[in-house]
Amino acid sequence: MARQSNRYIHILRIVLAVVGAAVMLFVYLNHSEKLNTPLMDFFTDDFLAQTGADNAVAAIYLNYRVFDTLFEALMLMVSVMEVINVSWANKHADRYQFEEDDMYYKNNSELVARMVGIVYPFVILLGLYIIANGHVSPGGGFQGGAILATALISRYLVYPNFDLDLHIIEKMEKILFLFIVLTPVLYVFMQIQPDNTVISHQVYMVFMNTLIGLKVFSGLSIIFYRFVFYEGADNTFIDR
Amino acid sequence: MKPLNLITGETVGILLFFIGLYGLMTKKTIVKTIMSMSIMEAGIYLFYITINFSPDTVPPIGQSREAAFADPVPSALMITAIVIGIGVTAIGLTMFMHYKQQHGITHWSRNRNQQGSEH
Amino acid sequence: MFETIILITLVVIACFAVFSDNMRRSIIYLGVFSLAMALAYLYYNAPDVAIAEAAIGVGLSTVMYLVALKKVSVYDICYVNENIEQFNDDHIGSIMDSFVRPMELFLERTEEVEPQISYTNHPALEVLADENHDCILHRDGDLIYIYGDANDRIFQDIIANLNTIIPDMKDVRVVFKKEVSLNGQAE
Repeated sequence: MARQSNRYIHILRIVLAVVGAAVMLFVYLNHSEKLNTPLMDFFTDDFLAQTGADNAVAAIYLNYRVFDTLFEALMLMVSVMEVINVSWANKHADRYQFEEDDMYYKNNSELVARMVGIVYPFVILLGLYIIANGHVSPGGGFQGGAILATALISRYLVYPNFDLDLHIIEKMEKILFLFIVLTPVLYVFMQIQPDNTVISHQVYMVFMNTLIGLKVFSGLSIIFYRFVFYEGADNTFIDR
Repeated sequence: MKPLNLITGETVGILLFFIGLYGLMTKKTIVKTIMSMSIMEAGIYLFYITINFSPDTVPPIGQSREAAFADPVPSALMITAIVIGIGVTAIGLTMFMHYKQQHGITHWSRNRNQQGSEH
Repeated sequence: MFETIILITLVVIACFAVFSDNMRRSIIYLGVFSLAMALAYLYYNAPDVAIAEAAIGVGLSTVMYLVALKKVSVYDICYVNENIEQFNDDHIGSIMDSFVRPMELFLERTEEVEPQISYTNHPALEVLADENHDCILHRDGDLIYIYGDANDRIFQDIIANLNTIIPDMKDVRVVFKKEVSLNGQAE
């Protein structure tokens, strides 16, 4: 019977999860050992003079291990491309038409609109502050970019009709990615530096953080608006 | 009763991973599956961050060495991992919407050709 | 001590998020889980990761899930009781166990749609004519009328399992909507 086998499979899954957790915990608690930390000693030894950053984490992801950052920026761009290409509206673009709906203006909440109107300059200011001070205090490009994207998403909460032109943001993201790849290759890998002082390193850090922040902001806003714009439409476009 | 110092960050990370794994295996709706994957990833982040933790350290910022620094290496790696996690979530949800448009149902099912309700 | 409390909170909230049946609730639990996780990262001396998790996990991920959830179908039920002047929590609490909870459980587990129950005290015929609910429950003393469409699969399933949903069936009458006019009702 299908019911019987369903019950057996369900019990098997529960047993698998519980036994797996028990085995992992047992192995971890009995056989884990403490190793030396040569990487941490090397990185936290003299990171201000070598990289110009007060924040050790920023020194690591912008100078010592900048290769990982390049691939993370690439991964964000790949996920933006995937969101654009898998979306249904691309394949059936000739059947898709959205109508301007005046009812949207009446159904919006006035409280949300006014409060977001007061708050969003401060959100943008906070995002720019976290980006620019990423090498001195906690923060950096990724965090600041996410906060800037939140400011743009709040625009959707206030005004959910669709008139944002995404082409400029898409072009900006690709150009920014090109610069993000070019700058560490020239500065860190090929060591084309004006002079080896702390000031020069700090200029490089602020520049990289700004590039990364703007790129993350464009990527996340494209993902979100693509989501909402094309996929939030109702189901009347299935068969036509 | 086990002593309370068994509840460290690593053990809770392993526990969260397996809670997420159970949710991934048994839930019938697609959005629940994606949420369970997000919980699994959160468990792994917690495991990595607590891997060299001792209570008398300070965050690795600044130059005044009044106490030992906390480990900045797993912290820097996990920032990357969190951004990748949201990328995976976005891709998963886009595929879910596409699936709903094509098949009309929002849960896993054996015969996908059946028509869902008209809601 | 603080570490133990916050780690136990994390496990409890994750269990709620995975094991809950209603999908909107589990998305909110996921948002709370991200917030508690940001606090845990701050305790473990990783402030960059805490800011990243707070900005990305709470701000972006939760909103994306809520937008994606618009695709999951919502079943709209309206509960009409004309004799009450104003609905407050006592009235809703008194019918919670007998009707609201079993109906929600049935819809979530068996039918896999999201239930959404609203309460009103307008006249039932007005609600039928003006608004477009999927199912209307009209309670008149001890009598319960259920209105719904005849070709609605979920409504037919509710009718078929009515004795498990409302265990003490005082007197329930089922009315199909296309037979109702504004002046009277046919059964």
